[in-house]
Amino acid sequence: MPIIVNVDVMMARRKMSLTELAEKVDLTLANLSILKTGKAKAVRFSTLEALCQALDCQPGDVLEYVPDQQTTSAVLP
Amino acid sequence: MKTSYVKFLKILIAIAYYGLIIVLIIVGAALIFNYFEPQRTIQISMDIPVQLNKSVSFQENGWAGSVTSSGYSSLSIHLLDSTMTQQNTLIYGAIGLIILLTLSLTIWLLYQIKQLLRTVGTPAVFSGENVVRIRTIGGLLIALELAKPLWWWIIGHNVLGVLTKHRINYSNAQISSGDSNLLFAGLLIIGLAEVFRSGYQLKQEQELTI
Repeated sequence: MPIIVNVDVMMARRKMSLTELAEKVDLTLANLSILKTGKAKAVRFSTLEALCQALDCQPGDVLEYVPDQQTTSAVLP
Repeated sequence: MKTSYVKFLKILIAIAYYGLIIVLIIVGAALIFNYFEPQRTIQISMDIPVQLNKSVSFQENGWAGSVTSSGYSSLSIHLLDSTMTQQNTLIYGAIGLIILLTLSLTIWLLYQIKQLLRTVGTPAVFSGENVVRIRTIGGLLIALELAKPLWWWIIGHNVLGVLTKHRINYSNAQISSGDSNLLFAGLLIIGLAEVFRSGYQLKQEQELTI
C-alpha cells in the first residue's frame, strides 16, 4: 500500500513501548498492531490526533507516501 | 439482535426442512415399493403443460389415468399391474428421478436458508459464506425452474401419445414463457447476493479502519 505508517519509528524515538502507546491513545494492542504492520485500510482523524499527541509529532512524521513502484523496489533486494 | 419474527421464520424453515427430508424418504420408499407391488392407494400426479377442454378418465392394461385441465393440466396415474412398471422401467425411473431431484433441490434450498437465518443478528451476517449461500439459493431457484422443461422433454412425447391414443383433444402442449416465476426470483436473489457482497466488503473495510 502506498501509505506507510511509521508508528514504530516514532515509538523508538520517544522510547515508548506498544503497550504504553496503546494505553495513551486508547486503542487495543490488536488494532495498534494492524496499524503498525500496514494492514489498516483507513485511519480516523481522531486516532491520528491521539497518536500525534501521544508521540509529540506531526501527522507527516507518522504517515509517509511511497508510490507503488518505489514500494516494490524497496522490498526487492 | 434477533426479533421474534426471525425466530418464527427459523422455526418455520426448520419444520419445512426436516419435514421435506421425511417426505423425500417416504416418497423414495413408496416409488421403489410401487415398482414391485403397485398399489391403488399410491398415485403419481404431475402437472403437464397441456390445455384441455374437459376432464377425461381412461384405462389401459395395467394402469388407469385421468386428466383435468386449466392452463396446465394435472395427470394422475394409478399403477394396477407390476408388469406395467417393469415393462416401462425407464419412464417410471425418469419420473421417479425427477420427483426425487425436485425434492432434493428444495431440501438443499431450505438448508441454505436455514444456515443464512442462523447468522441473522450476528456479525457474521455479512460474510463470504453468506454471499455464496445467497448465490446458491438463486441458482437453485433457477435449477427448479429448469427442472420443468427437462422433465417434459423426457416424458412429453409419451404423455401426448397417451392423450392421442385415447382421443383426448388438447390445444396447447408446450411450456410457455409466462411460467418463469422461479427464474426471475432466482435472478433477483443472485442480484441480492451482490448487495451482500458489497456489504461484506464495507464490513471488512470498517474492521480495518483504526
